[in-house]
Amino acid sequence: MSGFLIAMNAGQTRLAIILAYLGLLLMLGFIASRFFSGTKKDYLLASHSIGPFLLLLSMFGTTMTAFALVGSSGESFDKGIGVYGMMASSSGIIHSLCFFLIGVKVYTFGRRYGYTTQIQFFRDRLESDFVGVLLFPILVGLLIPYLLIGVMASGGVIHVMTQGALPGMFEGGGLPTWLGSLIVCLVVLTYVFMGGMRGTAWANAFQTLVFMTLGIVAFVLLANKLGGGETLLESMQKVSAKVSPEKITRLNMSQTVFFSYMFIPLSVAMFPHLFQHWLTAKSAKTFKVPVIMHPIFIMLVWAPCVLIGVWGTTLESSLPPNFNPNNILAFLVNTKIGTVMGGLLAAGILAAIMSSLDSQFLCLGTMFTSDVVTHYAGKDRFSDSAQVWIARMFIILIVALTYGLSLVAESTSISIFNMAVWSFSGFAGLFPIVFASLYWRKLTAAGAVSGILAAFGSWLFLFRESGWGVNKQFTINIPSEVTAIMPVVGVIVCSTLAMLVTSWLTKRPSDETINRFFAPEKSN
Amino acid sequence: MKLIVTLLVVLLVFAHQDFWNWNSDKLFFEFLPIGLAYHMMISVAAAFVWFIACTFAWPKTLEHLDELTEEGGEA
Repeated sequence: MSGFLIAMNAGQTRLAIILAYLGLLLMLGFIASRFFSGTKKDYLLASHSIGPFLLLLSMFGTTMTAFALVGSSGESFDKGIGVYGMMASSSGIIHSLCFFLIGVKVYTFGRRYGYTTQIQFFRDRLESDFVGVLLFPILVGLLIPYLLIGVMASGGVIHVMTQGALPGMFEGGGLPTWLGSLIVCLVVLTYVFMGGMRGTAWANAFQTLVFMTLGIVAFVLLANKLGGGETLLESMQKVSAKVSPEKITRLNMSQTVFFSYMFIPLSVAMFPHLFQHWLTAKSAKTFKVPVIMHPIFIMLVWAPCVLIGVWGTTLESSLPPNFNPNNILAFLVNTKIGTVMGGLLAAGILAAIMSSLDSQFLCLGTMFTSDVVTHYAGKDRFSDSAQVWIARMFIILIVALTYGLSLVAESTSISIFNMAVWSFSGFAGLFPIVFASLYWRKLTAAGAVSGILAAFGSWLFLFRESGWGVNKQFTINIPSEVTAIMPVVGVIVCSTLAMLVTSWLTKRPSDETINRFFAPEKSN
Repeated sequence: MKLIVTLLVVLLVFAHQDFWNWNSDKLFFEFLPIGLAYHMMISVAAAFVWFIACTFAWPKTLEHLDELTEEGGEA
């Protein structure tokens, strides 16, 4: 095997490692399909069989995207160590808060009343069919940019890492982005198609372990190379001493922007794919391990990557002109560690990307089947296996649509990481609705509809104001340019106000429905 | 206990703002920037707060649901 690798050039070696990794995933999907019982509940929710450790890994893998390895190192290369507080430690607090306050409660109702999607919950809780009609296109619309991030980033990673692999076949010898994206889409589609939620959860767990391990290994190897000391500690001390003060402080960061970034992780409360993962849990207490360990897992992935990004600034004079900060991790691995580690790192980055993509594809198939087809055609119209096939067909359609959109987006130089922040801000704007539906008995259907419309309307307005995401530094400035906050705050304020005012003015659902979701009110 | 957990979460959010380390370029163990070390401690503290929440403030009704689901079928 090692002789075979030596006979290949660097690009070919990395391509072989990437293909071997994708092959492993396909095998995992095939094995998961052997456990498939044939029912809809098994395909979409793995028959509520996922235990604490698998739930922790699958939920963590789902919430971490390409941003976890590539974005964290790239952003810290650009902005310094403040990126960790802005995105990682805040997510450690807020994600677990959402799992604890929203996830566990939603799981309870999901098990009790047999929900598979968020929309089923909202329709039932608010006695309103229209809430579902409104939410479906908004959730799908917000999920599409999130999907695009993964598809485009995976093609980009494969393109960069396979340079020189196939000389004469493609320009530069690397697999073109369109082909890399296509391969990743087909692999994810295959294991989701075969293994359903069980295959997705297994693949997520495996991929989470892969990208966490590779992140830490890359960190140790790079620290030794960059510092060149006798021990790891000495190497880290040597390289840190060379970093400029502005990168190890937050001198160039706005305190109000830093604070308002904390609202963005609220988006996890409304991610439809995460909702579906919650429902796979074996029992409510299964949530305890993910709630507790999620902040630690974020730290284990983000802290090494942030340090690598900051250390990368010490090599600024040897970087190519017009260097893209998002490539700092790949650049350091390729130039400082070597080919095999570069191939493994590419597999790790793809793991982080695909562990989100698979859940999103499956979730869209589930929403179409449950919220549109069986909701309007009637549950008894289709057999269980027919519903599984409808979900599979819709997943194929969504993968094809996303892939097509990625080709269009590729030619328009849209910043994928900026798209992520906008997508998350939209989901975060819907947080007040899901929170009120679980904790406020006076929420009405009209209140929820107003809140959703206000969230979407304000999000669209601000997104347009930012030049559709082109202005990366876009903030809301109140009352002057001194106080700048992230647009997500404006979206949340609008949706909350609209929801509260309308709910106070309109009639709430019947007592019978309220009593199904809340404990009886104490009479004085 | 719910009140204590709520207060701890509020304290975490406040501690997260960390304006007192904003311009400090000190290195913890001579390699870890203080602003990063502090926020890594916030991550550990968050895990500890969620441990307390799951251990002492876990909703009683959920245990009842678990018993029902473990007995078999949908609750």
